[in-house]
Amino acid sequence: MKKIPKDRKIFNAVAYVVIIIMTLLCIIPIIIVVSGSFTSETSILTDGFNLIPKEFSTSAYSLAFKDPMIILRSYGVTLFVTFSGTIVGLFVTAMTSYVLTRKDFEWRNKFSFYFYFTTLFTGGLVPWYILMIRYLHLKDNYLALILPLLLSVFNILIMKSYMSSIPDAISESAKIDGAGDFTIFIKLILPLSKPALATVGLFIALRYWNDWYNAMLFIDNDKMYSLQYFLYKIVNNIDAYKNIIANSGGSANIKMNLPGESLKMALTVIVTGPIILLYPFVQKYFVQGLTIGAVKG
Amino acid sequence: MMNNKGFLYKVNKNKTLLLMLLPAVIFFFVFNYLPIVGIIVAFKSYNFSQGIFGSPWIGFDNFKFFFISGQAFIVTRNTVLYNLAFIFVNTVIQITMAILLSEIKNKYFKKLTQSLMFLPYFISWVIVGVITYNIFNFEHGTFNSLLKMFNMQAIDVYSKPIAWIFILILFCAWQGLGYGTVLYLAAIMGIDTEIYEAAEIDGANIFKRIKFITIPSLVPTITILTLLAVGNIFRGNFDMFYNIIGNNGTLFKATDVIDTFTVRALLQSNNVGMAAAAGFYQSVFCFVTIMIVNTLVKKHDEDNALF
Amino acid sequence: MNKFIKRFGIKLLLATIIMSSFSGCSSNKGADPATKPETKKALSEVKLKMYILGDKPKDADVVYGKMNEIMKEKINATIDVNFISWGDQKTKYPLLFSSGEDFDLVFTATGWCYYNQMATRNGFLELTPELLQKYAPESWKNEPKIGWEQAKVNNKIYMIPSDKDEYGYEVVGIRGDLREKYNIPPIKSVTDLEKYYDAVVKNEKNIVPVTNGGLQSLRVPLEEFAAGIKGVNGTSTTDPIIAYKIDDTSSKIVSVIDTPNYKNYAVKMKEYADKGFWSKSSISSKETSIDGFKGGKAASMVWNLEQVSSAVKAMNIAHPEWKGEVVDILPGSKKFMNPYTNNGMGINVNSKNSERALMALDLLRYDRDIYDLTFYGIKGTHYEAVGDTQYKTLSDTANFPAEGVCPWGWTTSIGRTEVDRPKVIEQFTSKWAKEDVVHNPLETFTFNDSSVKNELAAINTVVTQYGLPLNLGLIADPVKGVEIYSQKLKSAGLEKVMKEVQTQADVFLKAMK
Repeated sequence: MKKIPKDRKIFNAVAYVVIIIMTLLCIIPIIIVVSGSFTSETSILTDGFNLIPKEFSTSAYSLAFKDPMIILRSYGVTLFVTFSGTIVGLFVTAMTSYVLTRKDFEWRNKFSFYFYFTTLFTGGLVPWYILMIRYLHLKDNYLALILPLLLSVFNILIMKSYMSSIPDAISESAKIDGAGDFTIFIKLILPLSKPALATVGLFIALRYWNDWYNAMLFIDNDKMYSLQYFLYKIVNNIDAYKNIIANSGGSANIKMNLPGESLKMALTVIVTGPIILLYPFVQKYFVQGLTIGAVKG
Repeated sequence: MMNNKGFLYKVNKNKTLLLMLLPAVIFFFVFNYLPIVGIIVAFKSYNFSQGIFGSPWIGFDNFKFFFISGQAFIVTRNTVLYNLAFIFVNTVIQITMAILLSEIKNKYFKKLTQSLMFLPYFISWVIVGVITYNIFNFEHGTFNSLLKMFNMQAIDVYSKPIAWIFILILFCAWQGLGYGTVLYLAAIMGIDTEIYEAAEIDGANIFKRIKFITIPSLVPTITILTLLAVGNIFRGNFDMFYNIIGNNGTLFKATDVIDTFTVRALLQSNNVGMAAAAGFYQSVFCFVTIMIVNTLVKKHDEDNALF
Repeated sequence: MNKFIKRFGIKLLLATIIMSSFSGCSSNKGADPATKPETKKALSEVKLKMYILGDKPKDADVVYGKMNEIMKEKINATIDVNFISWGDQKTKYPLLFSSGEDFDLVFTATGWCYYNQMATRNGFLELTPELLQKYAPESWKNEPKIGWEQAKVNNKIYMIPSDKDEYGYEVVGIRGDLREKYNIPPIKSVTDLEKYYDAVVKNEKNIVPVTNGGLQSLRVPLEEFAAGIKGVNGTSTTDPIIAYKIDDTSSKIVSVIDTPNYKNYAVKMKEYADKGFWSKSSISSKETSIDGFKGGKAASMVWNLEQVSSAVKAMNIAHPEWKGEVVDILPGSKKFMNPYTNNGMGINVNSKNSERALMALDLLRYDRDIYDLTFYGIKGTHYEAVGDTQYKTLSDTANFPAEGVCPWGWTTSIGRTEVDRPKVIEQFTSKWAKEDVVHNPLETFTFNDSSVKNELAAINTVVTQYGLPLNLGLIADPVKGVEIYSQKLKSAGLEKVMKEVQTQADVFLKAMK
């Protein structure tokens, strides 16, 4: 039995404590949200939110699922968009990043700048909207949800940074052996980049999952709403409506029942719950030292 | 003629690589470079019948509102300082967590804690605003209830600007923790285990191994992430600031950033040209900053510069 | 022979019934536009597109489908109704115009739905009297003259306003049980209200006098109406800064913050806040006064008559022991009506079917059946007609809330009132209409801000930053606070704007005489 050295014992103790504290700090607000989703609306109005529901109630959930088709459909839309967008986006990102790591490619810095420049200057919402709607005709079209988030400069540069840790020798020796650049990419680089692919793939997927903005701008058909947009509409509508009432001098007078705080929380849980499961799935690619092991063989 | 031949030759030599770049190049051209044309709206008095190209030029007129308000310096300063604080605090916390996690051997613990740390990323700032109010409101907030439990005087947090500087930094760190930790963790995974083993055999304890192997290996990732953040140093996270601070004017001196200021100024008039002007102001400053910083980094270490 | 008469007779009878029901369908105020057989044949089929605000109700397709059946019959046009959610209004509404989207009709409003902004930027089609007379004759005939004047921007009309009489004045809903408990006589003045609030603060630990979240405060009754001022149209700021006195018929423009009234108001608000009339953290709370009141956490709510009355009514059903009351704390004060342009419909300048759109709008406004459909839903399913002027909601009303999803753009006087409408609303509004309402010539004046838009934007930021805390009594030294506020406004360019407003107002008034 291997003896655990003293320094590791200290380290482990410190590590466990710190990680547990940080995790707790992270999840306390989450617990409040979950607890709020199970609290009755009247209790929230009088006592506010607490860690444990003061008055337990599942009415927010029954209200949310009153029309289950809406939620199921938005799940479908979001899953479809996330899945297809991530696969394509990840592949193109990896391919682009690889080219930028090739030291023998003399224009790589110029292309990096070409990509990076797009994060500095922007024409704003109006030209972007006009481009999508009038020239690309992407209204009420799933492509409007998939295309904008397909590539991001951030992801390309991160991936480039990870791929840079793969020794140049691999590409160089393969080229000497006569392999084409694309073949090198597919056969050698991709397998060696598993942690990088997992990470960036995760980020792309999360970005799709969280997106409500594109749905708000380009989707009018309520059968095509994404999950987050569905949540955003309900949560934001109240505040926007209150602002409008405040400014309208009494004209805006709706007699509808505005969804309560508890419903907002329940919807948040429903919308974000499943994506947590994605991380453990991706985590298995986080294995150390994969690079050199593969090279040695 | 010689140049032409040289250029075409290079293109041919690199043709596969160039083709591999093509999708991304087209993507950014269509979705980013084409719309950039719209930036001229910042210098025009926009009306709907003449559109972006037909509306009359008015020079720098759209920028005036930002400067005559007397707030230009304050909000710019706030934006930059907050971003610097965020960069520093977030980087330190995320690297620490990544290193700690990388050395933990228990798989279930790792998976569980990392998944949980990711959750804040999904909580919209609107909900965070609600939670903040629930914690800090004077009469019923959790914070004051705790104080009362310990027989201490209740504090009116909403009137103390300083408190909000910390609250904002805290929530920014909270939200990005899971995301950033994974970024650094993935970089650590790329380090060869053999180096660690060799060091251990040579007698280096875990703290020394972290200091001399892990951290230096993270330098490329840290550099890239920091440079990317610096490139956005004049842009504030509107959702975060708006939902946490809201319309509480007593806090603005310490917490107002360019983005919240602009939205407030243009809330009623919805003037596209003025909004574009504010955006342009931010873009120019970001551009100058990153050009300088990137050049400095390039001199020091070419591989880790952005371009 | 018998058989022939029978068959012919039945057909004739049916035809007569149908014809008479058609004429029964037409508006009470005159003949239907465009039902002359010749014009009907000449009209080609047109599909119109309309945008209104709100979330699409469940039965929208059914209801609007039925509406389109009638519309097709009458003017051979149908309307594709689209919705912009409240949360998206800020982003998507302007985009409709700037993206060149192809639509015909759109909701708009002064002050809260970008009417002035879109009009000055040529987003709407100019509605000339000729156009209106020809294609929207009912509207032209029946709309109050003031409405048309209010809709004028740079002397051109760009929308057809609603013609609903609304008061922006705010009343107070209070808890009768608490009032009686502390022996306070019926509340008829601000001092009475203060006594009530004092009693609540002293004796009720869990109830606060009023909840002032969501940007609300006591500003409207205690600053605006108590001082008798009204903000100038088109000087869009959240609180009125540039105003005129409603009983002053010269065109004098006043800087509100520099009036002694405002200083007293600010001091009073601090006094109230210190006494604990509302939570110290109100400025960041999203809870509006109605939430607090209905939830039993607040002893009062301050809002417009409709909201307060319906809240009190709901409360008295849920908690009859609370004995909600609606009170006017400034009885006899001069009141002004909201401009008719607070709700209206505009036509897109790029609409390809503007004439048909106008005709459709006229039908929306004055056709009995179409109006009932778009406002209350399907008879028998969502509502039940009670006589000619009233309605009662049925259990399915949630699927198409009555007067709910923004048909307000075409509100006219043929609208029905709900049978259960609180009587107190009528009591107050008839009194106000008879005794208190004033009409100021500047009521129809809209300021053109194109030469001072920078100053106005800067002023806007100052108002939110310094005005709101003063409204809620959060500034330690309110007198100094008002001074600082005034200074900041000046450096943002208030004087330049005031001069411009005064100049335009003088011109306007002179032209009217």
